[in-house]
Amino acid sequence: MLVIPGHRCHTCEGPTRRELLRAGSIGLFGLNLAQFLSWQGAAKGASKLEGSRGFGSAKSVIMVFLQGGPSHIDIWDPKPDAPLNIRGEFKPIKTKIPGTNISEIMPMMADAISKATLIRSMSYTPNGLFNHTAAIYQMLTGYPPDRVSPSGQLEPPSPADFPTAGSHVSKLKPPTEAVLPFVELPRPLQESGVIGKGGAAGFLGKAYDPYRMYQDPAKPLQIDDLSLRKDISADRLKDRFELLKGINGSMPDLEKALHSQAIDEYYGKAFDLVLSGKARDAFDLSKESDKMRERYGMTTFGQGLLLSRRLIEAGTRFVQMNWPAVANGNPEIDAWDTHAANFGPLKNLHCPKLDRGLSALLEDMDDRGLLKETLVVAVGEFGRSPRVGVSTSGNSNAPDGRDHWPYCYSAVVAGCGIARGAQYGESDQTASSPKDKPVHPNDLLATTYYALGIDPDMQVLNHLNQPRELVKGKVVTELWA
Amino acid sequence: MSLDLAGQLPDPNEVRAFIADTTPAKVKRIRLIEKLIASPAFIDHWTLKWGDLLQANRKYLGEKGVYEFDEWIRESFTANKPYDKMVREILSSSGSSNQNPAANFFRVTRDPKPTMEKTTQVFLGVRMVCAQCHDHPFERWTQNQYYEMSAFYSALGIRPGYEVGEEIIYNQRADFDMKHPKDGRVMKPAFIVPASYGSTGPVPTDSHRRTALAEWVTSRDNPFFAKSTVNRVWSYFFGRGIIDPVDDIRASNPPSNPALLDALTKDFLDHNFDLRQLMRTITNSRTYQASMTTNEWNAGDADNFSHAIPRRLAAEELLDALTLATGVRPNLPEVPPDTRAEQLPDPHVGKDGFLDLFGRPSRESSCECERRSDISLPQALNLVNGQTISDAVAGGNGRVAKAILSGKSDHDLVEELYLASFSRTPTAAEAELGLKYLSSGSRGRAALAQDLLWALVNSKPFLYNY
Repeated sequence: MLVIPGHRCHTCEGPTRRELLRAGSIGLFGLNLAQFLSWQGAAKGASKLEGSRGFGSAKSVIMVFLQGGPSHIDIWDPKPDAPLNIRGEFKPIKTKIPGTNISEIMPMMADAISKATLIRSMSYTPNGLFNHTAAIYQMLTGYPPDRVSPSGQLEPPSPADFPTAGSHVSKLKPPTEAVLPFVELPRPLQESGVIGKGGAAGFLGKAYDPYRMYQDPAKPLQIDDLSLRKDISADRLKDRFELLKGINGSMPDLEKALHSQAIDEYYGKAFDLVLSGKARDAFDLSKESDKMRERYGMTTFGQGLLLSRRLIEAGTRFVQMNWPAVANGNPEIDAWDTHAANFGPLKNLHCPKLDRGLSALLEDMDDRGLLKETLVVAVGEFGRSPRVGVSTSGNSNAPDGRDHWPYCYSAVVAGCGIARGAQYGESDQTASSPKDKPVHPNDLLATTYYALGIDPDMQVLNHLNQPRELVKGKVVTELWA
Repeated sequence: MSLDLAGQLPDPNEVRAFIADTTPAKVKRIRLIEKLIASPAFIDHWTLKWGDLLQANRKYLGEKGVYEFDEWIRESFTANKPYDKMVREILSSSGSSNQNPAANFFRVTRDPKPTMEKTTQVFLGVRMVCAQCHDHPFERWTQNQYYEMSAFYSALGIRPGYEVGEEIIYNQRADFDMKHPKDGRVMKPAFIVPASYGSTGPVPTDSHRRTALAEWVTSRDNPFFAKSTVNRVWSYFFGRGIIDPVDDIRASNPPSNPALLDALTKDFLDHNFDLRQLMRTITNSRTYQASMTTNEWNAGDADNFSHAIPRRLAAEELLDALTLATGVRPNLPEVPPDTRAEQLPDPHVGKDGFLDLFGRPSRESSCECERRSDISLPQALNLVNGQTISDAVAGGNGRVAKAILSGKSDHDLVEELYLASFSRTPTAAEAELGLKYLSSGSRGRAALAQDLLWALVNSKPFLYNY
C-alpha cells in the first residue's frame, strides 16, 4: 500500500526523481507526465521569469552577514514612543528617506540609506531551536536545521547539509572570467564550537565551497595559492603548462574518457587566475588610497567590505562578508550578541564600525557604477528582544541586555535597481512583529536568487539525487523601483 | 591495481622488476595480486575504507576510542577475519569500549533508531530511514517494520566507564520498550525478512534481543548481507556498484547485472565470507582488467562495466602518490613524520588542508557519498600553485634532487620520473618530449627536471586511476 503522509518529517529523505517518475506514471500525487516535464523544465531554464521586474538585474552579490543578531530597535527601527524598557537609550535621527528615522548611533547611514531600501519586516518563527547557528542555517540555506546534538547545539557542518546561498550561486551562475566565484571573508560563521554551519556547499560537494579567506584584511594578507610562487616565473609556469598539455595529449583514450570532467577548464582557469594576477590584485588592499581605506574604517569589518568591493570589481559572483566575531561572542569586545550588555557596546564598539563601513560600501559602489549590477544585502540571523532584560531564548540577560528575537528585525538591501531611499514593510509599535509585508528569510533568499537571474522555484538534486527546492520563498518584487 | 588493492603506487624498482620478469603476463598478474593482498599497505587501505564506513571519528569516540577502534579494524583485516564474523563481533559487542573496541560502533549513533538505520544501511545496503515517519512510499518497508527493527536496539545502553573516554555498552534490564509514535503501542522486535538467527523459536524479546539481530544480519540466508557486501566491495574497484548507490538496495533499484551479482555472492558464501578471496576474484577478472578503450557499441556505457572508467585518486591516495612520485613526504600535523595519509586513524588528524580539499570524508555519516572525487577550481589552484606540490617537486631531498646528484643521464631521469608517477616507462614519444624539454636550456637542469615532474603529477594519468 502506498501511503503519502501530509506531514513531512525531518528524517525522511523523500522520493528520488526516479521514484517520482514511477509515481507520476501511476498517477500518484496526481502528477502527470506533462506536469512533471514542466516541473523539470523549470529546473533547467528560467525563461518564464525573463523580463519580470528585477529578474536577472544583478551580476553579483555582497552578503554582509551580521552574525550575532544586531538589535534592530537600537539601530534601524527606533520606537521613541514605546516605554523606556523597550525604546532603550538611543534617540532617533532623520534619514534621507522622508518619514523614516534610524538610531542616532548610525549617523553616516542616515545619509547613505538614500541608496538602499530598509526592510523593517524581516520575520520568522524558528522551528524549535532558538540559537544562532539554527538561525544562520535558516538564513543562508533556506532550510531549518534538522539535526541537533544532545547538548542543544547544532551538529557541525555535514556533507548532507543544504548548500549556503553562495554555493548555489557559484554552481548555477559560474563566473565568466577567471576569478574566484565565491569568496567568504574574513572569518567563518560560528557559534561556540560549531564552525561553518550554513556556510558550506553541503550536498553540492566541496567543489562549490567558498574560497575561504579567513584573515584580517586590516593586515597584509597571505595569498600563496593565488600569487606566482617566487621561484616560478610566468614563463616557467607557461612552460610547465605546455609540457602538461603534451603529457596529457599522449594518452588520447584517457582524454576522451575524462572529457566530461572539464579538468582542462579548471586548469585553464587556475592558470589564468595565477598568471593574470587578477584575484591576487583584488586581495591587495595596498592598491587603494589611504583616504579610501580610512573611509571604510581601518577595522577588520571596514577593510573586509573594501575587499568585498574589490572582489566584485574583479568579477567574483558572491562575496559573503561575515561580521568578524563569533556569533555568541562577548558583546563587550566584538559580538552583536548583546545579552550581557547592549547599549554601551552598540554605541561605542559595533555600530561605529557598521555605520562607517556600510555607508562607505554603498557610496563607493555607487560612485563606481558597481551598484547597478550588484545586490548588497546587510542582515543578521535575527534581531533582539524589544524588551530589555528579559529572557526569550533561555539565555540569561543583564538588566540592559537584549535577547534573540527572530519575529521582527531589519535588513538593508541595495543595488541592481532596488528602490533607492525607500522603506519596505513596517513593524508594530514595539518592533515585536511586522505590521505589514512580512519578509521571511526564505523570501529574502528567493529575492537574491531572482535578482541573479535564477528561478527560485527550481529544483536542485541533493547528494542522493533527490530533488529539493532551491528555496521555498516568495520573491519580493516590490523592492524594485 | 596497486591503487585499488593497496591504495599506493608501486615503487619504481618494483615496476622495473615486474617489467623485467619474463614469466607469462597472466601468471605475473596473478602473482602480483597475491603480493599486493599480502602487503601491509593492503591492510592500511581497507582499514581506512572500513574506518569511513564504521565512522571511526574522535568526535564520537574520543582520541583513545578512535585509535582503539582503528586498531581493531586493522587487526580484523590483518587476520582476514571472515566478514560475517567481523560484523557479528561488532553487532553483538558489549562491555568496555577500551577492552572491546568493536563496541565503539554503538558510540557513534547511540540511540536505537539511528543505530538500526546505520546497521541496515552499512551491512545490508538497505535504507530504512524513510519508514520512520510513514510507510516507505515505493518500497515494501512499513512504518511498523521500522519500529520493529529498532526494537532490537531498544535495550542498548551506554554509560560512562571508569577511565577517561571509556564507555560501557550494556543491555538495559528494564524500561526499554520501543513505542510506536502514532499510538504508543509497544513494538516487539521483528525482522524485515526471514533469515536464521540461531534459534527456531520466537524472536527473543528480552534485554539480549540485539544478539539475535547480529545473528540474523550475518546469517548465510540473509538475502541482503552477502549480496550488499559483494556489491559494495565491487564498487571500490569500479567506482560503481552493480546495484548503485551501493547502500540503497531495493526492488525499484535493480542490479545492472543480476547474474554477475548472484555469482559473486555465491562465490563469497562458498569461501565463507572471505573478503580477500572476493577481491582476488574481482581483480583477476577480465572485467576488472578491461582497458578504457571503447568501441562504437560501448562508448556511451557507464553502467555495465564494459570498459574501465577512470576515477580520480581519493584524497589519501593522491597525497601518498605525490609522496612516492616526488620523494618528499609532506608534514602531516599531529602524527609521526613517516605516516602515510592512508594510515591516518580519523579525519581529525593530518589536517594540512590538502586532504580535506580533495574530498576526504568527515565521517559524519556512513554514507559512501561522503567521499567526494569531483574536481574543482580550488583543487586545480592547489595542484598548479599550492604549497604541497610546489614544495614536493622542488624538495632538496626529493626524487629530482637525488637523481641529479647521483649523475643520472637525461634518459634515465625521464624514465625514473615516469616510473615513479605513472608506474610505467615512457613511450617513445613521451620520452622524446621529456628529453627535448630537459635539453632546452631555458633554465638549470634541476629546474627543468622539476618542471617535468610538476607536469607529470598534474597530468590526468597521475590524478586518475584508470
